Amino acid sequence: MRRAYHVARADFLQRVRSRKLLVVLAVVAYFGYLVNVGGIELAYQIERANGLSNVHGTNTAEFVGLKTGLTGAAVLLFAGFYLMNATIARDRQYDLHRLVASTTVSNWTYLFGKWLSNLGLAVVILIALGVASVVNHLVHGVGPTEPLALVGPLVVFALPVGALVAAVALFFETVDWLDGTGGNIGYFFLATFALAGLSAADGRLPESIPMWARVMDPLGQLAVYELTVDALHATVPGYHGGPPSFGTLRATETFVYTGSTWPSWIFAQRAWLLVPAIAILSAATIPFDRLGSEGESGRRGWFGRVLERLPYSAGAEGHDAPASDARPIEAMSFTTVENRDAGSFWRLLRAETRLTVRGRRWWWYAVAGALVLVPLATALPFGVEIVPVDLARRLLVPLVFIWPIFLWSDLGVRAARHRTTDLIFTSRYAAGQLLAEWLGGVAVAAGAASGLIVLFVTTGQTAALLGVVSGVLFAPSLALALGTWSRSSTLFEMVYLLLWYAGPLNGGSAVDFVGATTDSTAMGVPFAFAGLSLLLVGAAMLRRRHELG
Amino acid sequence: MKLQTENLGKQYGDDVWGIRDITLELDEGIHGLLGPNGAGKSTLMGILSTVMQPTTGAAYWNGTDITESPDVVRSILGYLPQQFGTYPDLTLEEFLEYVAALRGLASETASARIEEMIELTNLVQVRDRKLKTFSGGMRQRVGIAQALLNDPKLLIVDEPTVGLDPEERVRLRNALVNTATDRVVVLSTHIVPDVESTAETLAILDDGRLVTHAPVDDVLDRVTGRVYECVVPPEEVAPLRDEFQVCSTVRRSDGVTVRMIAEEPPTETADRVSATLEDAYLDCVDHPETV
Repeated sequence: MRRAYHVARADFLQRVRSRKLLVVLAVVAYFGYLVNVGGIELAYQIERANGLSNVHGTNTAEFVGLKTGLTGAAVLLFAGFYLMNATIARDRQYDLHRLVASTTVSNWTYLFGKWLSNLGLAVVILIALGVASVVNHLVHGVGPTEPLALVGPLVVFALPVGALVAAVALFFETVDWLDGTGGNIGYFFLATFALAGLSAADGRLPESIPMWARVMDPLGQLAVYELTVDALHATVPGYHGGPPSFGTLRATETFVYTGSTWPSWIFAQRAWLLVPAIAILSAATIPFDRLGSEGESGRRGWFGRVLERLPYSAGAEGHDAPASDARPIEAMSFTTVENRDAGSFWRLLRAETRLTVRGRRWWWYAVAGALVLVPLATALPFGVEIVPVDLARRLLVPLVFIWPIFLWSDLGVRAARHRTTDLIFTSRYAAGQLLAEWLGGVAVAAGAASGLIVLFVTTGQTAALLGVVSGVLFAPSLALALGTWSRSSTLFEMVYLLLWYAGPLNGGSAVDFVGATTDSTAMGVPFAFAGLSLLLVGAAMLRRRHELG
Repeated sequence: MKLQTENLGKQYGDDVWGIRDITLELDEGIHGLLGPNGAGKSTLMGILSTVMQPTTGAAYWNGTDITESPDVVRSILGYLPQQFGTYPDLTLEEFLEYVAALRGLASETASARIEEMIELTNLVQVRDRKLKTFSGGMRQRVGIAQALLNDPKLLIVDEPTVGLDPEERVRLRNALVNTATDRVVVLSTHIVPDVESTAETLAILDDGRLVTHAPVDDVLDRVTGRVYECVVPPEEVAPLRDEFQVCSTVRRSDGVTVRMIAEEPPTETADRVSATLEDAYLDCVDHPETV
């Protein structure tokens, strides 16, 4: 236990001394303001004669406390993973893993320590949210400010989520194919899917909600339903439409919630989340490779092992000629360089595109090829319509603009990741290199979308074509800007996934930057995002200029 | 060609200086930079290679202030940083093509230089292999190849021989000496024999300050005639350490061979021996007031 504590302590100290954490805490503190002023709302949707009406509680300490608790749980469920999931990678980056691997610290102890550190991060986030909520309630709240009522739900609702997400993040790090962009995307869908059980409560009063739905409620929305429904009935008698919605809702009517007795099942349900957390943490010890990259060859799978046997990549430590066999330096003549200002942007672009495309697994290229070929086949003149054009727009466009995220997420961070920053910054083409890096990303986007472009051109779908062009520009621009400013690919992956999920996938017209819906193209959304792309590239260039001094 | 610094300083915190008041003048040839860990060598090299801005003072290349006009240096610079990274999914040749484009070489010149640098660093047989399959020593040679690729007028190399086997170390030293004509080479290292066999002048840094900058022979002259060796019982080593500057100790069957710097023979059995640059370096660092 003492060893786990020290693993956790060292990792936690490293984390809390990061400037990035200050930014995270500032954002979380802002949420503490939003829950007090209605920016984040918890409201019941009531059917009135003139349509749906949102009814929310007045901002008493008890009601704001519930909102704070749910906000903390949601922040940890959706963002916590991305904030926590580099704890093992950090040790590998600084070669600490070798030190640990050479000690008697067991895998379980090491991972338990890392889990504690993840949990510590969650606690810091929740403390920031709790303090912000209390302070803002003093200023903006209704009625007396009760610290326990404001902070208590954070402990009950959010802390168990933190424990669970801490374990999931650790598990994803220990599984080779879940560690990285693929895992980041996978987790996003997992977290979204985790809320699916709530639909079982629609149209029911709390007492008739099935037990399994209560058990599977990660945020605690069903608990909040049970706690507040009586107060709601005082304003809206007979309501039985299901749990309240949670988010940025414009509410027009109010009810007053001043607290109620918390039934014991709520505590049991929240504590239950620790069971999968411990199970996942234990499971993480199975795939965990304490040697890190040294064990890489053993983790590549059958295809990698076949490739390793080919002459091209034979042996990780192949031999070159011994120095004694080499031609003496005195016998060599060297070409004199007179012109050091003949750098070609195209050569740089070719190299950057090569860097962007390289290093994926075979299945990535196979799927990317399919995403090009399917719309191409549809566009062929002899009428093999594999996918109708409308369906291509609704289905293939979102897919084409999520698959290359594996490549785009490298933009803006590649040099730092591979420690080539000094090499680039001491050249005269540091700005051109960043531009080439961006264009490499654009080339990848255009390549992935080439099938769709041909399809939309041949079928005269101008609006859809413009949407694709917007996506081709926007995705790499966002990656480059967020990568250069945050020095990490995680922020891009989070922001892009949210935009992609809300826009292209679910048809949210306002953020449908690829024009997957006709509404968005009619509103000119792709044009706006194409313009935003230029601003983002400008922001990245500004960052580079600042870095160059 | 001349690289100069004037009162160069870099401050990291309120009272933390990486380097302070460094004034140097480096002409064509190889200049060794020695100093203990944290002496400020990497900070100085970072400023000279324009990846870092000084807090005070200035640095000049042929009279032009490189902190004002960094491109003056960037266009003629070859740089091997201590933390050198590569792109693991590129082959050696592809990586050098990338560096050539960054360094502004024309296509034909780049092709020729890439061939030569691959041969110089003895990596011919692995030119088409991805860099992720390279050993640490091979990667270090890639670093040397990329630093020399543009035939730089100013070559700054930080610990270039780390990770190389003895044979390759000698080959690299020869490479530096043979290619040092018509260029300024700044060589930072912990390995004193590397400097001794290649450098014309030596700059010693300690605690962020310049202890000395002089021709290697002059630095060596500091201790010439003052280096002694004797074999003593183990219990006599500590008193000698208290009294003299001990450069090294070697345990033998009949006692401990102690190498030290002294004005007079420290013991009756002590023999005067040839001084090395390592002796001189230790003397400079331990007694900077006498430099």
